[in-house]
Amino acid sequence: MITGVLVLCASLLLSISFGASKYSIFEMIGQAMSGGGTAANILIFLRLPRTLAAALAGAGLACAGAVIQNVLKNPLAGPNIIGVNSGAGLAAALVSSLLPLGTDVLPIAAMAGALFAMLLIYSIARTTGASKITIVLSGVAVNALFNAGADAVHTLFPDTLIGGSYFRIGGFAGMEITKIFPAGWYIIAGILLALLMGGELDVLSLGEENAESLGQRTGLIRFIMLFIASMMAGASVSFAGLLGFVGLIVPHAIRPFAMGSSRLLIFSCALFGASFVLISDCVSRLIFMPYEMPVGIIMAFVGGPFFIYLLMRRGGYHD
Amino acid sequence: MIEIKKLSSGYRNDEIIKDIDLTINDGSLTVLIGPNGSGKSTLLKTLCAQIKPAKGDIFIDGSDIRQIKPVQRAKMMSYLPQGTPLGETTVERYVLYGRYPYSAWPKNYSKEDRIMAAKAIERFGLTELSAKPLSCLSGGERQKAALALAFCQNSKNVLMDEPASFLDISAQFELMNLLRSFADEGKAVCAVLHDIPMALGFADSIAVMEKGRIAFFGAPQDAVQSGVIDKVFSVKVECIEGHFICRPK
Repeated sequence: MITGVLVLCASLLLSISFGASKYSIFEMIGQAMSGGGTAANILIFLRLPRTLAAALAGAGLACAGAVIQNVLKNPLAGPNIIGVNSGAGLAAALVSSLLPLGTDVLPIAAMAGALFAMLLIYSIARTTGASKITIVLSGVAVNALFNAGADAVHTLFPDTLIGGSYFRIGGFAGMEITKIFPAGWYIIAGILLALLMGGELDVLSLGEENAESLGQRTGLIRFIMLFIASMMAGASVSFAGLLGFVGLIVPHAIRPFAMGSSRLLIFSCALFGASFVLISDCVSRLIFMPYEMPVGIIMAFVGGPFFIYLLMRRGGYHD
Repeated sequence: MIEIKKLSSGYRNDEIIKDIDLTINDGSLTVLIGPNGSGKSTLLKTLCAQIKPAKGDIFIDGSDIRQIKPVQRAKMMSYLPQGTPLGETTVERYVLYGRYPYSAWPKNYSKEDRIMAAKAIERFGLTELSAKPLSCLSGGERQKAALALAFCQNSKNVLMDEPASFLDISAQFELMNLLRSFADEGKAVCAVLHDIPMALGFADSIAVMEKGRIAFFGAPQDAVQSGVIDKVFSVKVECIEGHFICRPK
């Protein structure tokens, strides 16, 4: 946990310090303290919102992934794999095309889209026996359906901001504080709620029969947990776009160290998820400077091979 | 004590068990045997309220199961489903979940809960393994961890669905001795087993299920003498010098 806090602090510092302009962090802070200037403006209007957005989206998606994986008892059930992110993306694209000025409702719509996708996957899995492979295959179908929906919205309303390729890949260029909030509050609230519900999630992770025999109202707890996960994933997608992998690989990498404690898993996912996206975002800004790559591409380049490595190290998954 | 009166139950419109009358007394080990698909697991799931009865009544320690809230029910009855627990959870943490019905929300376990869990771990000989994840344990050790959780749950009634599956013969004997000790402490224990000689050798009462009904309920010796096991399983059960053996017909 201490490592996680240190890594996050270093990532935050890195994200604030590096970018296309060559001002040092001391110059930026110095100017900000002494009344303003270009360096101060870069810090306040570019670097800080971007850093905050990356940290919040990373933490939100990683925690959502951890919760979904525990509830479905499926380590492959990342929010991007099973269509939760694309559900949020479709809802956000619909709202931004039908209500172009309704930016406040965007995170709510994204959360509703994520929840709808989540419940759709869950009901398919329940009907068909909830095997690991069924959930992943249902996710592939739901993903395709929602992505096609988002593409259709983008084709019909090409001028809307959401639904374009940048949103599909995910990134933080031109991030403003007004875009991050109120979605950021929903992410923070979601993480706190998930931590509070950690004791329930521990027992739910034992499986439905075991949890019920211990007196848990599994239907209610499962719905609350999936609602919290949708809240975190939907709110993250509403400003960061369809960032892949963070919700899959961060919980996956941390799980063996959490020793079955959902609270430790969620807290660590918040720290390392934020750090992973922050570092990836730094790389996306610096790798082809002064040009910038959407962070989703960098995350896929890092996340893809890392996930294959994790699968190989554990000898794959059997249904 | 679990009293079952005229119980019928199943999945959706499919009635799997029909008109079951059975009493599992305190301080006794009752073993349910029957061919695959005879309704043993359905009966256990109905007893622990995971399936709603279509007809009939279940009384746990005199209270109608429909009137008992889930947490209260968990304090009165523990149920171990088929299969052994798996995952990254450590033995210590897993056994502690037995205190779930007793801990207040948001489920931060008290010092007393931890003491109870430690006692359960010690009793089942898992102290040295307590910090290990369940996935690193053998099948027998995982089954012991499941029993330790049930012990930690401290309920008077214990239901187990095929606890001996996948265990080697010595682990099966160890398991049966542990179930025996549960019963000797005054608990009402009911387990589903497939090994007929093992069931006959350890049980106080045998319930033989066939096509969703109780074909026989009584002492093991009487079950053998009645010939009901021979008929239901198409085998020949004999008692030679106090040991039961089972041969094909």
